[in-house]
Amino acid sequence: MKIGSKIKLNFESLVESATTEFKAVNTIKLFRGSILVFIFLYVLQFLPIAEAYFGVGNYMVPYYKSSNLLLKPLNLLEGEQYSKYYLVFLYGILSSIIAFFFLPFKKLSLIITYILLMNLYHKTAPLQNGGFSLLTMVMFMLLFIDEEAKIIKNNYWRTIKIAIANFTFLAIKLQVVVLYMVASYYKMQGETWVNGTAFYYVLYNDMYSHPLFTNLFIDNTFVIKTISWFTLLFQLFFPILVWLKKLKNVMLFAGIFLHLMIAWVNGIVDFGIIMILMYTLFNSEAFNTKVLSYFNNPLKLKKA
Amino acid sequence: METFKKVIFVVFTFFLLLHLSFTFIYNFDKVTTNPTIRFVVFKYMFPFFNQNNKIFAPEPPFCKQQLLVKYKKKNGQWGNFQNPQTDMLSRHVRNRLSPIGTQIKHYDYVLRHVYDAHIYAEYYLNNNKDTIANRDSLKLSYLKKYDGFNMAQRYFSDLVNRSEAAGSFDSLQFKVVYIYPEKYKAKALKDIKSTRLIIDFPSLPILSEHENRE
Repeated sequence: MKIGSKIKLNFESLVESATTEFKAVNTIKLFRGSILVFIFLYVLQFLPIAEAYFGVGNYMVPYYKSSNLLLKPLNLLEGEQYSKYYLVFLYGILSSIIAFFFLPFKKLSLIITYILLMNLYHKTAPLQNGGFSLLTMVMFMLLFIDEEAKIIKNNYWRTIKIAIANFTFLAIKLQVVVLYMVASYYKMQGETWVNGTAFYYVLYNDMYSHPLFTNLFIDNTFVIKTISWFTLLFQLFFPILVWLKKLKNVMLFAGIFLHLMIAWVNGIVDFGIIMILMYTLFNSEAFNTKVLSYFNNPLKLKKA
Repeated sequence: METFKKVIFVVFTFFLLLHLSFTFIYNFDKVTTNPTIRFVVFKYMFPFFNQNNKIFAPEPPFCKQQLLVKYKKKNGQWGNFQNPQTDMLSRHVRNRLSPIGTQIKHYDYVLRHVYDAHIYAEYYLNNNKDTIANRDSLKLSYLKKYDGFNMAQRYFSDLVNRSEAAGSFDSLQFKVVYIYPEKYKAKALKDIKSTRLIIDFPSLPILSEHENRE
């Protein structure tokens, strides 16, 4: 077969798979559900201390100098005007997440959750890490995915919705990959990640370490270098190896280990959990379907 | 229908590649320094695709930083410097899932503002060093021009106003300490040598709850 006709065939099969069916229906359901549960618990644990960050007389300094019109409805808490209603934002998120799971109008619940979450995020932006930025970005992209697009009757509209779902799904996965690419690229520009002593400085800093680990390992060259280089190499190679079928699971297990360590040893729990949740996107649809069916009906599955 | 699918595929591929290119330009300064391109990219990325992927990059924090505070009793007696973050850190070690993690990050945020205010004040003090009669009071007036410093004053005033000792103090004072460890030499924690950078601040009145609300 000529190269030209091979390319044509490949192109046609790509077009077909991107516009005819969205194959990650349960992956998206599981991912969206777990992200919403995480946000729910995050907001819930924030409630007792929220006044200090969002209320009248809060201890945050106005952060954004941007006059961007799109930012205004996503940054209402910046000014004094809405500070006294900060609880509306917090309880609003909790209510809209409950509504998403138990009521119709799921898309509306998602939009409300996103807008309210962005308001909380922008007010506390200087306290947030890359994980939470990724979460807000992914929440925005999820608004465009309609996993039930196949039931739309109009052929043209169905094709567009399926294509949007497929391309957005790919864009979300690429965003996770970009996070690691950026982190590893900038780490390569530094000295300590390359010479393997970065973890020593992390352990020395009380804010990002666990005393147990500091006392055990701060003088252990093997552990210091292994962890520093493992982190760097993982972030460097994840963007390539996660697309290879044979190595994908190895990368995901390594990533889960790394992020559990970041959560426990470094105390950056939200980042650790968010990144582990992002891995749902890279699991196979069959695996995610099993996990989802367990959450949908755990008793039924146990009996079976 | 087949042609329509191909058109849709090409259009969405174009948008995906455009989004990816913008993401790379936004994240990697070296891709282009063209101000027009960077302006367009920033307008596209912010606020929906704003991202910060440089955690511990290019380097992890090279030092421990501490914001210490001491309070003066109404009889004129100063207490010792204390670091409220120490207790927060040990509580966070006991329970990583508690919301104290946010309070720790926030304490660090307050510290950064106090330090930035110091840099701001020192810049003006050094530019006018020949005309300064009372350095402390002038430094305080520059510090007070910095919103973050006023926030820190409110933060620590409220901390004492809400404690059992409320009402018995009238002033507070900050001290910022940066502790830099020596380069890695495989030493136990107690043997690691360090250098300290200590920044002292003038004393400040404790604000009442009423003043803070204003």
